[in-house]
Parts: sequence; structure tokens; C-alpha cells
Amino acid sequence: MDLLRTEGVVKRFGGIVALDGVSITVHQGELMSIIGPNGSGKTTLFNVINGVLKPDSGRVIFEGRDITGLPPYKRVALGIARTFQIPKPWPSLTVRENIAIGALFGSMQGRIGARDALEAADEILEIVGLSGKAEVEAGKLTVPEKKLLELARAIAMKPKLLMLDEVVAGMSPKDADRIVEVIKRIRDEYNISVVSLVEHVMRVVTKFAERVVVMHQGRVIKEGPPGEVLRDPLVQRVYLGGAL
Amino acid sequence: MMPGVDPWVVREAMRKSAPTLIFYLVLLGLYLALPQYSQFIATILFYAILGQAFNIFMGMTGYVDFGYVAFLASGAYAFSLAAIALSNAGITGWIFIPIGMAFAALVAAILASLVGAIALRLRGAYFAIATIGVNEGLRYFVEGANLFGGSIGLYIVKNLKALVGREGYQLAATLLADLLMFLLAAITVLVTGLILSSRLGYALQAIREDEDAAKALGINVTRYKVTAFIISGMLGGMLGALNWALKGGVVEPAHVFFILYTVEAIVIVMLGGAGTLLGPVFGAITYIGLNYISNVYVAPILEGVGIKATGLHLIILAPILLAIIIAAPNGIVGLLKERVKNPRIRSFIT
Repeated sequence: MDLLRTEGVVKRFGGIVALDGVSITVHQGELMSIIGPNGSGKTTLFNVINGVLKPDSGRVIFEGRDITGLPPYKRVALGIARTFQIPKPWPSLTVRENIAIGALFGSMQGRIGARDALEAADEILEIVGLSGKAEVEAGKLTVPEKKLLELARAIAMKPKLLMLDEVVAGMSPKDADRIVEVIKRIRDEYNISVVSLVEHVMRVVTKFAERVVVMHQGRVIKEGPPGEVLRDPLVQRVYLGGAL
Repeated sequence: MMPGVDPWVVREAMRKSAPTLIFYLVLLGLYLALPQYSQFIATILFYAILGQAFNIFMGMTGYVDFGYVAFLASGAYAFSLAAIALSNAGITGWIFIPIGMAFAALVAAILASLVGAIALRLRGAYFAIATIGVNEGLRYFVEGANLFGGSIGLYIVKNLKALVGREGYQLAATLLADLLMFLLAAITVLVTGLILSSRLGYALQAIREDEDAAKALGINVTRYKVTAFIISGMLGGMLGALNWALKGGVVEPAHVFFILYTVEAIVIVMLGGAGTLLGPVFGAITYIGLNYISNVYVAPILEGVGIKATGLHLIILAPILLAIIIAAPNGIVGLLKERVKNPRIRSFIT
């Protein structure tokens, strides 16, 4: 079953066409990666799916329902969670509080109290391996730790669709592997769909994704299993900077 | 959504409020034990409540409302108008206090909803500028349109005397008004504690720390900002009612709309520690202490060498604020939290 579908999404910023008719589908429970060079429109697509940006035309369908006009908080309540490329923790709150806020305002919005949210945070800290940092102010974490925190906060939101923006960028191979492990584990445990944006780390793409969508200049230029897509001459030209 | 249902939240709120409530109890003890200092203590109390009520919005969301004193003014006017109406209608007795206070809170809440619904769509400095406009605009409207006594304001002493008699008024304007201020202080602290322990408090802090992240991660930012704005405004309205209408018997626009009160509230909250419970109390004591020192000790020295130093404390406000922002952005409470490592003691610094 399709969890999410975008239909011909167009987004312009002044004269720049960031998304030029993007139609993608995310299946129930799959691990999918959207790859593409810098400026290909990946993050803009995320912002449109998440509701932070309104598309100029096109629709966003989630579980068969048109959500194009919904504000972000309503989409989150339906089960769409995300992380940011540059981590955005709430710096002077503790790691535990950051995750608890995720739980309070995620898909359980209004059905979970502060106490249960803090308890849920402890469980998730365990899963991502940040338990030792529970009472540390989030702003004091290292970058890989902040990325883990972002992931933890998104998991706490109990999403059906988890959108990860460059979750392994700038990480050591060891840290990256650890994150991939965590993501796979939560996908299996909660049967959620994971869409991850990746610019460069191809090793991770092949290890992680079951399906890859390639974007270039605001368009989807290729999709399929990672091995096949990455061998594609067109995709290789895009990455090596050759003309299309 | 409002706190109060979940017993855990109530317990948490009590735990967080307790140290500040103890401070107010000590202040109350001093007030009762040292009548010669009672008005000095009442001044500290006024500024502590001002900071506490202001803190609910500014401290928790990071938005600076430069028009905050308009809530105090609206409460003072509302209370006075209620007292006048009741005395004209011949409904005498102490009932005027709860009615007046309820009306003050209501009018402040209405003002907060109207201002909040519009101004809270603006971010940062734009919000601050818009709110200055609200305060000054209201004041000139009241004066220009000759509303509620125009620029002269409302004198309600004779109405208060008609309501509770000469002796009743004496009591109301002195001991009773101050005791009600202590009660308001306790209510404000408990409300802050409840907010901090509940969904609303977490939402507000997330907004303060990173509003874009808060928005993208499912928080209906406008709704929570407006809620906090209304609560903060209502408490301010009640403070204005007690301080000027009940205690002073006079509500003059030039006074109750005076923007300096807002600036003082900012200094007190920043000095003590924004978003904390103890912060406004520490801030008020420090600010009034500095004020006292500058007016009683430093000003006479300057006058001795021929410099007239009225309002000296105002000149030192700006450097104090700058010094706090640079040296201790989290105020006195922030400094204490950094210094105190013992977790048992730390848990009392709320």
C-alpha cells in the first residue's frame, strides 16, 4: 500500500524552480533514499511533504488523504516526523526533555501526558544509545550525538513516515553504521516507512535503502533498486557534473 | 490541554514552586514583623509579581512584549470601573473585590487575545515594536477620546469608601491590598509551576529555543504563544488592579501606561533568570536593592558636588542589562545552577 504520494509538486522561489513536477511514492514499511547533488530539490521536497512550505501546484497524499493544505502540526499528528540536515535541538533543554517534547507533540498529540512522555524518552534514549546523556543540555552534545538526538526525537513522535535529512552526513563510518543500525531496527520494530535524503555517502545508500529515487534540478530522473540506479550512466553523469 | 488534571503535573508544579513560595513566605513574615519597612517590602513584592507575570510570556517564549504595562493598566481601569458601577448601584460590601478582580482579569484577557491574535504573527523585534505601539496607542486613545476621565484618570477613593465605609477603605488600601498581593504572588508562582510541568510549558520552551524546529515538529506555535500571552496578561491585569485601583485609589493614564514598568519587568526577568521560578524574585530584590542604594546613598553624594541625580537608577538600568546579557545570559538563577553541583540542592533551584 502507498503511504505517501506526491503528485506533480511544483515549488518556485522567485525565478528559481526548486521542484519541477515531482511525483514520488513511498510504500508502507519501506526504506527509501532520495539522492541527488546539492540544489537538486531534496530538502524542498521534504519541506513540502512536512508542510513547512506550500507547493505552487501539485498535491501531497498521505494514507489516501489530500494533506496539501494542512499545517505542519496537523501532519505531525497524522504521523509524519522529520529530522533536519543541520540538527535543530532545543539547546538549553536537556536531551531527555527534547525527546519528551517529540513524544508530547507527535502522533500521540493530546493523548500523552508530560510524565508518560518523559518515560517514553527514557526508552528511546536506550534504543539510540544516548542514555548516559539524558540530563545533558542538548546544545552541549557533539554533532554525531545531536544527529542521534534528532533521530530519537523523531522516533518519539511515533510516526508512520520518518523523514531523515542527511542523517549520516559528516559522520565517521562507525557513527554512520550505528545510525543505520538504529534506523533499521526501528523500522522493523514499528513497521514505519523511512525516507532518507542523501547527498554523498553512497556506501550508506547501498547498505540502507531498498529503493532509491534520484533527483536533479528539481526533477526525478531515475528510480529503482540502489545497485541498478547507481550504475546508471545518467546518474553517474549527474554526480560527476557532466552535462545531461 | 490546560494543566491541573494530571496529578503528576500538579506534584511536579508544587515541587518546582516550593522554593519560590518559601521566599514569599519569608517576605510575608518580614512584612508583618517589620511594619516600618512594610512599604519597602511591598515595593519588592510588586516588582517580583510584575517579573513573575511577565516571565510567563517573555521568559518562556523569548518574545519581548514592550506593551506589557497595558495589561496592568487595563486591569486597573477595569477594577475601578467595577467599583464605581457597584457603588453607584448601591451594591456595597467586600464583594467588590472578587468582582473587580474577575473583571480586571477578564478585560486583560480580552486585550491579550486581541493583541496576541494579531501581533503574535510577527517574530522577534517586529513583535516588540508592534506591542510598544499598542501600549502608547491605548494611552493616547484614552486621553484623546476623554475616556474614563481622560488624561486625569479615575479617582475611586470615595467609591471605595461608599462600598466598605471609611474604616473598611483604610484597611483595604493598606494591609488587605498588600496581603492580596502576596496571594497573587503565590497564584502567579503556582501557575508558572503548572505551566512549566505541563504540555504548554514544553511547547513554550521549544518555541523559545527554536521556533522553526518547534513548528516543523508538530507544535501549533500560535496557539501556545497566544495561550501564554493571555495568562501572562490576566495576571498583569490583576496586579494593576490591586496596586493602583485598590491600594492607591487612583488610576492615571500617565502612570498606569508608563512604559518604564515594562522595561523594569524586562530587567528583573533577565537579571533573575528568564523562564525560571526563582528568577523574578531574585531579580526584583536585586533591582530594588540597587535602586535603593543609588537613590539613598549615591545620589546625595552626587548632589553634594552639584550634580542633580534624580532618576539615577534609570541611567544604571542599561549598563546592568548589558552586563547581564554578556556575563550571565541566564541570570542569577543560571549562575547558581552552574555553581551548585550537589544534585539535592540543585533540585531546589527552579
